[in-house]
Formats: sequence, structure tokens, C-alpha cells
Amino acid sequence: MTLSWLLCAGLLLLDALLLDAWLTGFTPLPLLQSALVLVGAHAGACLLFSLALLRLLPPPYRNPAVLSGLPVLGITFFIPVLGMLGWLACVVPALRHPRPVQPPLDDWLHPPVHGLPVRPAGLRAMGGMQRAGELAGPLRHAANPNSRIAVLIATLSLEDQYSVPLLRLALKDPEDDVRLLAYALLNRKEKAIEARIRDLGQQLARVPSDQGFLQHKALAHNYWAFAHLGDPQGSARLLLCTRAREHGQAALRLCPGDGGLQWLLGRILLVQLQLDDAAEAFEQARQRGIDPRQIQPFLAEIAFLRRRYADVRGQLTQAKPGGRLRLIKLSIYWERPADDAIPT
Amino acid sequence: MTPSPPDTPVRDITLLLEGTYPFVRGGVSGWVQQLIEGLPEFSFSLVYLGAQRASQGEMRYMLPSNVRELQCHYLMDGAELRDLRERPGDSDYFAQSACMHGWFRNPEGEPDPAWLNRVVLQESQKPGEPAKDFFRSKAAWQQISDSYNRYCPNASFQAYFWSVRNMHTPLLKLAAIARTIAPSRVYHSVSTGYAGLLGAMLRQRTGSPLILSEHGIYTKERKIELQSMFLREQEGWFTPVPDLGMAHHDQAWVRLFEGIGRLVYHAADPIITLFEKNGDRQVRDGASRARIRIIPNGVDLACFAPLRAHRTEQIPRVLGLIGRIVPIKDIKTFIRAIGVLSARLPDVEGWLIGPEEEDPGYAEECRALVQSLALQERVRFKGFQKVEDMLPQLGLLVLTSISEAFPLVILESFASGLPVLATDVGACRELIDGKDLDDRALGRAGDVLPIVDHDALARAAHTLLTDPARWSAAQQAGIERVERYYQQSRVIDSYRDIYQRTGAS
Repeated sequence: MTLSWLLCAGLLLLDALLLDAWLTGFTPLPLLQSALVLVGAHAGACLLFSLALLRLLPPPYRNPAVLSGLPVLGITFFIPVLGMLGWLACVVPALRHPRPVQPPLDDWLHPPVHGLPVRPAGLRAMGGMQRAGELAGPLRHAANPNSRIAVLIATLSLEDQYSVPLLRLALKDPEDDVRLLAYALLNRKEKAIEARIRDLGQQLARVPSDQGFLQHKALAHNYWAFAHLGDPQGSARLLLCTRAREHGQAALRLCPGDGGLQWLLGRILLVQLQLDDAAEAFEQARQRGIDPRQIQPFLAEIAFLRRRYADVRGQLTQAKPGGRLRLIKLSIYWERPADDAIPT
Repeated sequence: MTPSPPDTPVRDITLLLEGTYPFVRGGVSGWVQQLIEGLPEFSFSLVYLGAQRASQGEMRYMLPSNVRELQCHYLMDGAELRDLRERPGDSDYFAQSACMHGWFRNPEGEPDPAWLNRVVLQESQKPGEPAKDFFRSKAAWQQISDSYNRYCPNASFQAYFWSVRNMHTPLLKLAAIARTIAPSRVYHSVSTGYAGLLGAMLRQRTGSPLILSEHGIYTKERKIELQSMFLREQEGWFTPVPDLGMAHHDQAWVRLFEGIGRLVYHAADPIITLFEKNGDRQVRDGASRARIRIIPNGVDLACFAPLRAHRTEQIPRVLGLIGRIVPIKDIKTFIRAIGVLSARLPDVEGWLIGPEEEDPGYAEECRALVQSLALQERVRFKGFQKVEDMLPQLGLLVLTSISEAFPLVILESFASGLPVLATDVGACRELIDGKDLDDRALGRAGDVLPIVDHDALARAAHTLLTDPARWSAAQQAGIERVERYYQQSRVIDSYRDIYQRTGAS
């Protein structure tokens, strides 16, 4: 190693003398000959310098020798003296003593532990369902109650249909603070809907019975939203669905052509397991312009509840679930060949 | 009664009460009444802290004869500032105040006596000067502006400014109140919060010991109240939700009460709690475990045991919820449960026994729910009633609360021979199922249910109401448990001992 350093330094000195001889015209030979001699000597010095320098480079930079040596040779040849100086003074020390790229070992042994989630849900670009799925993990498993509280705060950026299941899950949390916050947030949603229902009820009482379409329709939607705030298996949900259905049917008596309302009515009747009426409502909705792709998943559910499993596959195929992850999974399951099905 | 000047004879015990006895009915108020009545050998002075004089109702309890005086103070009534001239402000005071704010933001270690004396107690200041400085000085304005620019420059300055003012107004008042309170051998606060902080101030000023009895955890209840008020859903695509779900100045309220809690825990000894889980929570919030002492509630058996003889042979098909009609009691779940149960037991009734004045809006919502579920014939709002009159008429006592500490009403029910259905909060499980092996061997005195689950409540109620053998076993377990572990005399003896040891007599 030391020999390589000395050799490189000697060759640098030699190259400097050759350059000096060239610049001062210190040769007895004619110009062309002296040029050939000096260039040849310079080339030889560069070649030897390149070979010596390769020994100074750290092992990963030495091989293949030709590819590593050529840049050294090229630079030292075309930039006399300065090229060698640059390699020796800058490049070699830099390569031999690189700045540590990785953190010290201690940081690897004690990495910072981030709480979950590290930030509230805020990206609308990300689907609500996906965000809800992301948040459900920390809500179930985060050991620190503050992380679970952070999840509840993150639900503020989700729509009710995605935040409510998370809040209901949090009601079973062992920590008082988490439970209380979940309750407070659910209660606030409930109060808002209750207030709208009260307000609409008062409006309905003031309008003549044949002009209450808008109020009945809004009440049906609000009772439906209210039903989704509660326990999906709970008896209160059925009760609220009954109220939603009554108002939906009252609105449809006043304006039978409302396809959206027929679609809502179909979903309410499906929850109440009135399958024939639900199928009829969905058919009415389709006739009144609702996209059949929106209706097919519900028809598939009706077929499933009627145990007409062959129809389920057909309905789901037509449903074209698009980006709806759960529906895609369901669709894939039902579209598999029958002999591939997992016995249940 | 009028406030006494500071040089009147010393009282044995000064009880510091915030938003409770003797103006608001409830478990804590009942406990205070029992405590005072049970210790006639001590003289008591009461300091009541309320929000606003205008919203103050009348006294709900007859003060026992050993109460020598009652002082009432209202923290949210506007500060009267006659001197509106601009002032430079005391820069040293505001430097100490900045240290105090730093501790509230990051409450590590003991509070520094320098800012505790100067800012919290306002020592070596003329009365009223700190308030004038805070409201009228350039130094105060500078401190508020600096904090705003540093911590929340994108928020509304107006909202920030008024939040800061509203936070400081009661603290300045408390320091002024502390100067007017007569000397006492012992100060005893029944919560942290403003009452506890007043206790900490008095402890610092007079050197008399401060006892803290915490039933619920004040900081936790305040935090949930503030979160319910201030947490905001995302409005529009471009409005980000703040990291903590609420604006910086709203979050500051939570920090304020957490900081006050820590200050009180530092000052109080002993810190009395009702059950172990609450003690763990207090330690997490800054209390020293060595100072914590557990004294569960107790019931006067002489008053409730005779009620067993008034029970009818048949189990009444009546579920009673005894408590204030407020959201934390989750009255709506009770109403829904009655709706579910009435489908299987058409003659079942649900009685809501408790005052409605604390949250009339919520009471109205509950009535609307009863109406919308067509349960007018099944659910009755009884208002405030004497518990002793109601208990023999009930078939089950129900508690649907989202949060409880150690509900006295459960003990009263047990003592009167009534099984209980309660949610799994606070000490309810250890009261119904038993706290250790010996206790559990007595059997279950009812059932424990998940919160906000009206179906589970309806199922449990149906099981007990329709199975007399099971109901009787639960009744017996409750009676034995309360007689063995939860007699009021034990509580009174424990407090007598604490008062004597801390020098109240």
C-alpha cells in the first residue's frame, strides 16, 4: 500500500517534470521528436499511475480492472498533472473514507416506535372503506389507549357509513376514555339525525297531506341513516327501518316515479327480509332509471337468501363491482367453478 | 350565609365543592351529606364553586347543624374591571407565567414553587393587580400574540384570544377567592378541577393539609365533555382535520384541566379514591401511589334494610333507573331496552327516577324517543323521588351509564333487597360479581352488561324477571355483600380517622 502511494507520488512528480520540460522547451530534440518522447513518457507515467492507483482504491472499485483503470488513465492522460493530483488528493481519500450512509448501530437496535396511526385520515383520494380498514387494525390492537383515541379522531374525516362501525367497535374498548369518546361521537351523529327528523316531522305536520313528498322522502332517508348508527343485529334497527319504510311508501304514493326512492325502499325491505317486496321495489327502481349495476348486488343477496345459488353468480357477474373491494372478493368467490368451492 | 373574614375562628374542615352539594342532587352530593351528618363532632365550612350566579338553582339539601358557613362563588361571571387604562404589565410576572404555561404543555416533574407562588397564588402582588395586568397590559398582549404566532398561526386569532381569556378568568378569580376563605385546620376537596385547585392554593398559603376525595375522575370527564364540544368532522375536501381533531386553543382547555389535576395531586395527601382502578388512573394522571388510599362507598343499613319487608311476593315487572337524566347515564339505551322487552313481557314498565333540570335538552330528547318508539304507556318519567320510596316498587335496578365510579345507588338497592343490572363501567362489576374470591363466593347480585347494548339488557332483564329462583339468589347475594363489605359506618370511621390524623380536631 505504501509502495503504491510512493509510486503514485513519484509518477506525479515525473509528470510534473515532463510538463515543465514541454512548457519550457527543455529538450535538445526537434519539436516533433521531443513531442513524441514527452507524450510517450507522459502516457507511460499515466499507465503506471493508473495501475498503482488501482491498488489504492477500495476493493469494490478495483474490479473489473480494465473498466476501473480506463477512467483513471483517461483523466490523467488528458489532464496532465492536475488529473493525477485530483485522483490522489480527492477521489482516493473520498472512496477510502466514505461518509457513513447508514445510521450508527445503536439506531438500528433502538428504532423509534411510532404510535398508530401516525396521522389522521385526511386523503379523500383514498377510498373511505380502505381508510376504515386501515384504522380498524390500530383500534383493535394498539396497546396504547392514546393511539386508539387517535383512531377515533381520525374517523372524523370519514363518512358515517365507514366511521360508525369503527365507533361501535370502540364502545367495547377496555379503556374508559376510548369508550367515552366513541360514545360521544356516536351520540353527536345520532343527535344530528334526531334533530333533522324532529324538524321534518314538524314540517310534515304543517303541509297538506298531498304535498308532503319532500318531507316523507327526507324522513325515509334520515330514518335509514339512523338505523345504520345502531347495532346492525339490533332490534332497534328493524324498528327504525319500519319508520323509514312507512315514510318511503308514503312518499312513493305521492310521487311513484322516483327511482331513487324505490331503490331505497328495496334496501329497507331487504333488511326486513321481505324478499318479494324488495325484489319488486328493485325492479321498479330499474324501470325508473336506476343503473342496474347498482341493483344487481342486492338482487344477488335476495337470490342467496332464497337459496337460489345459481342466480347469485349471474347477478354478481352483471354487477361489475368496479372498485368495491368486498364486492370484488364476493364476486370472485361466486364466479369460481362449482368444484373449486370450499365446502362450508 | 355570608363569607367570613379571614380572622374568624378556625374551622375544623373546609369542604371545597364544585357544581355539586348542596345545589345539585346526585351521588356525590348524597355522599357529602352523609359524611357531614356522620361526623357531628367536627365543624364544617363549605365553599361552593358554581359557573354563573344566574343559572344557580335553589339548595337541594338541608344543611346539617355542624355546617358553620357556606360560601358561594361563581367562576364564569364576568370579571369586573373598573380601571380600563392601558398598563405596561409586570414583565417578571409574565416570564414566570410563561414557565407555568410550559409546565402545562409538558408537565414533567414537580411544579416550580417560583411560578406556583407568583402566578397561581399571586403572592407579593396587590389584590386585583394580576387581573388588571392580564386584561389590560401590553405585556399580556405580547405574551398572547407570541404564543399565537408560535403554536397556531393559522388559526383564528380572535378565537385564540378569547379562549385564553376565558381560561384565565376563573384562575384569577380562584386566587382572589383563596384570600377570602377563613382559616381551617384541614381543607378537603371532593374533586380535582377548580375546587381542587382552590384547595392546592389554600394548602400553599396556609400550610394546612389538603385531602382529596375523587369519586369519578374529574379530568377524564372534563376531557370527554370538551372533546364532544370541540371535535369537528372534516368540512369540505380542503379542510384538513387537526392532528388532535380540535383546534390548538380548544386542545388547550384539555391541557388546562390535565395540568390542574396534576397540581392538585401534587398538593393533596391523602388522595382518596373509591376503587383500585380509579387509583391506577390517578397514578397515570400524576398522583403518587404512596398517597392513594381506597375507601369504598357505604350505605346506611338501618335506613334500607327495613325496605325488604315492603317488597311484594311477586317480582314487580318494573325496571328502575335511578339517576340524573343526563347523557352520561345513557338513558336512551334504557328506553330502547324497555321497547325490546315489552315485546316479550307486555306488562313491563321502565321508570326513570331522577331530576331532569341538569340537561333539559337531553330529557326532551329522551321523551321524544319514548314517543317515537310508542312507549308512552311503558316508560314513565318520575322526576326526583325519595329512593327509599321507590326501591320496594322495583323488580330490578338498572344502570346503563357510560361512565360511573362507585354508584351508591347499587349499594342502596342491594341493601333494600333489589338485584341490579349495570353496565361494565367503574366499580359495577366488582359490586355485582364480587371483588375477590371470598366476595365472589357470595354469588352474583344481578348481571353486568356491555355499554350501549339494549338487546343484552333486555335479555338479562327477561331472564331475571321470569326466573324467581335466580332473582332470589341475586337478591340474597346483594344483601350479604353489602352487609359484609359496604356499611356506611366503615366509611365514616375511615374519614374520622383521616381527619384526626391530619389535624382536623
